[in-house]
Amino acid sequence: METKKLNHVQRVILRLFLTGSYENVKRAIVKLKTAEIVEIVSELRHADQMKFLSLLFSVRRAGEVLSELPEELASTLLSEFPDEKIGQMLLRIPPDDAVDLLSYVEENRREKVLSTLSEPDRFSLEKLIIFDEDTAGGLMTTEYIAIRDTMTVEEAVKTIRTKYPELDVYYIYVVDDRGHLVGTLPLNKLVLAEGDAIVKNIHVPDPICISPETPQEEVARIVSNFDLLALPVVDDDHKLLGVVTFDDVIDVVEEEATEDIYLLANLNTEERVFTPVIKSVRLRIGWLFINLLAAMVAAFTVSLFSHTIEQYVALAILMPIVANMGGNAGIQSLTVMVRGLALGELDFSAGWKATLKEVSVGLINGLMNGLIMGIITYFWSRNLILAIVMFFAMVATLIVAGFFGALVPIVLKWLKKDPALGSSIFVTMAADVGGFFIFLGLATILLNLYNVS
Amino acid sequence: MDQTTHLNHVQKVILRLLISGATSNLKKMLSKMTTAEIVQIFYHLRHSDQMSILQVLSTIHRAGEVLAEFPDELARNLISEFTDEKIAGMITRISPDDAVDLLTYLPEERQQTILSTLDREIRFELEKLLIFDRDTAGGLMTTEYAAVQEEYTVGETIQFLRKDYADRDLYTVYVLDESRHLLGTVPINTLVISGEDVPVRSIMVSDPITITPDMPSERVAALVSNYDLLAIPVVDADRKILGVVTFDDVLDVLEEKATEDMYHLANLDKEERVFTPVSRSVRLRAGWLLINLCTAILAALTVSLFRDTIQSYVALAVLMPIVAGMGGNAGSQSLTVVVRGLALGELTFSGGWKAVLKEVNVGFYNGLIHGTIMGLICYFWFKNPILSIIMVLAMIATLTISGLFGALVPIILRWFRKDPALGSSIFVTTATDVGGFFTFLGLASLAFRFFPPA
Repeated sequence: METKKLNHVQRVILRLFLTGSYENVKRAIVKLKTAEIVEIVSELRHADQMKFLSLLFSVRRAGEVLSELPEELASTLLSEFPDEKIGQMLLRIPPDDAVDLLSYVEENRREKVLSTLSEPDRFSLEKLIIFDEDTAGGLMTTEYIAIRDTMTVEEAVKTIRTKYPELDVYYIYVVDDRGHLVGTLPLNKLVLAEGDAIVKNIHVPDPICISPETPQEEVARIVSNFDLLALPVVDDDHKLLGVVTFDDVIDVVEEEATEDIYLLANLNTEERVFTPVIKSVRLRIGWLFINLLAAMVAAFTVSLFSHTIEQYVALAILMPIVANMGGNAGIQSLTVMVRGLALGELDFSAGWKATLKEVSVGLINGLMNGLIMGIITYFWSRNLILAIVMFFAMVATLIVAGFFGALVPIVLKWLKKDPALGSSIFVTMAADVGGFFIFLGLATILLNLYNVS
Repeated sequence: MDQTTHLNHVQKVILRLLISGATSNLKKMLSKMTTAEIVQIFYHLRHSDQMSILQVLSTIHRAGEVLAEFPDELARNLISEFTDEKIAGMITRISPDDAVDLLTYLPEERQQTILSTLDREIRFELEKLLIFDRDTAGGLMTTEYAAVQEEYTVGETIQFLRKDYADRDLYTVYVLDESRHLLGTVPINTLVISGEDVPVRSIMVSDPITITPDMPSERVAALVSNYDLLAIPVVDADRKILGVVTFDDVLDVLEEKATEDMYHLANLDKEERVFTPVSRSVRLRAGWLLINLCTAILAALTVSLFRDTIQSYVALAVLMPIVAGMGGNAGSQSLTVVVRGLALGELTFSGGWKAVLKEVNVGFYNGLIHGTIMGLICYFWFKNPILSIIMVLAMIATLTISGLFGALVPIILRWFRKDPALGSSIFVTTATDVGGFFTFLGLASLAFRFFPPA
């Protein structure tokens, strides 16, 4: 837990800013990378952040910094800029970042901001806006280099030099006469090829490509499995629409991980540590309410046996152990499955195998912990029947937990839902209901049969 | 799902070829597949089938690259069954950082025997990398990078690259002085657009961001992700270049870290995977479950303090699961927000008490809301206003406690330099169970002393 260390230049700029020598800040800030400026911004108080961003705007760097800030902060700061200024910011950053930045502006202002732009600029952004933010279309940039397959290496190099001297790319895309994507040419191949070689002969044919609707987690998985720097996005006709680059993919990996972790805990993905209390309450209330309903199902199960509990209060005392162990074992199974699905290590066809495995693990862990708990119960209550009931209940509960822990995420995935969504509530409920039913049910039968007091 | 169906089909064909012993067809098929595709079909095969396919792969010299992409656990099980010569053959065909990863799956003595059979040059290279901890920049970096002297021109650089780097992925050229100090970097696209006679010194980006080999891998990942870097050079104290960490390694680190956080929240060992064999899974989970059993007994002991009250009013036993269920869920919400905040660096110590206060507040309000709902339900179910009031108060207390401990436990663990997720969910559940049962049953026995239930 170290405080974020600013480097020397960052500290100097921070000091210049706080002492009010804004002209010097403007001069010095040119030397910093975007991420370094972002670090300075997060050190400032809100009022200062706004002033700092106006300075950044005057050196034309407000847009790139805002697009790297956390969403909530960026939208608050953006709301204080006039439409025209936001419009200018959009033009100074790559189109995919511009679309993201625009999404931070309040919905009813977006049209107005767009209307400050020229027709072609506006059109190039609107083309991207139609795609969902969480898909390849929402991630891609339209800044890429495409060349004809019939060019020579020399011609290709000349094209790049004259038309795209500033572009920061590592792959070039190769298209045929109808604009269809036919290959990828990594820049290093281009650099190292002889000048008179034909592009068609040195490119990597049939590159992996995706459609704009591809969900972002799948994009991330493809990039990470194939170690790609960029992934081309094509339409139904195989025409190139844009490119998703590795830096977007890194963000997706982090975002998806947060999402899975949050969903396993029944949290809304928008919440952060310092989300205001009122908003947090609102965001959590829904799942807690569903959990309340699930807990009532468990309570109802118990109520079926209130007569038995009245006779043997020891049952009420042991109930939390059954529920707790079932819950914990269920979450273990659930988490292994959810992660396996997310990383692509598990797919449908193997679903039953994984379920069988989780059930077996539940059985064995149930036998072990049931044995321990049976012995403890015997010494505590001196009641052999109760000890036997405890043993069997533990085995059954952990099997139920393993079964549902594996099955629920697979079924959700099959229904094309996020496998982590609400699944922990369902698994806990299944383990509770199953556990209580078996524990109290067995107790009712056996204790009455042997009439132990 | 499209790709998945395709792979399922491929997997079936491969298994059929394997069973019928059509090795040459199998070889042909495998050599047409990419490493990522081969890895995908491996996960749910039986161990013996995995081994046979790897044997075939090793005859087409691809076993090493495939093994290097597996999760630790799987790779360790498989590689240990190969002979020393075969492993030596594999590791000379893959990049040094991957080779070192494969070596570290083996016991020390075997590493030494295998290393001793290698060429001096390769051996020296690998031994240099082996000294670094796997979870540091030194453990992640590769020593395969392109470097040129500062007085080279663009044309000379391209000539040099053509000779040595024609078949490798290459995106950045590092510029060094004669004693290998790092002076700057030249992205490959700058090479394309610059004239042949320009010296690289004049087009390089000077003073690039560098890291030292002992930097923990999570910090490396954060740096690469914040600065959108493709690769980051690793230098020693003297600024001599040692190697390069590339973005694909960083993606692996990020995925691994996320798995670890998620697993620790669920009390799982990070080694476990979906298809870890049952016996090993049982062993890996037994420890935490046993600890959980002990803490569950604590909750049971709390309940046993109030056995007389429960006996005289059994509705309490019926409602107990609701108190525990709500507390557990709210606690894991608070815990998860705080753990993720710590992992992403959004929460630091100084903000700790603020986060705790926030979670306590959220717990209080959610307790109030759900307590009210539950109080009403209780009233209609049991027709007992006293029980309803007890339920409201117990719910508020439980959710407040769950917020307190859900935030406090990970912060304290972090303060002790432990992983904030490790085992914390068991602590939090115990605290909410014990606290919740104590308030709920305690309030009930107090209240029913004055207002005995009908």
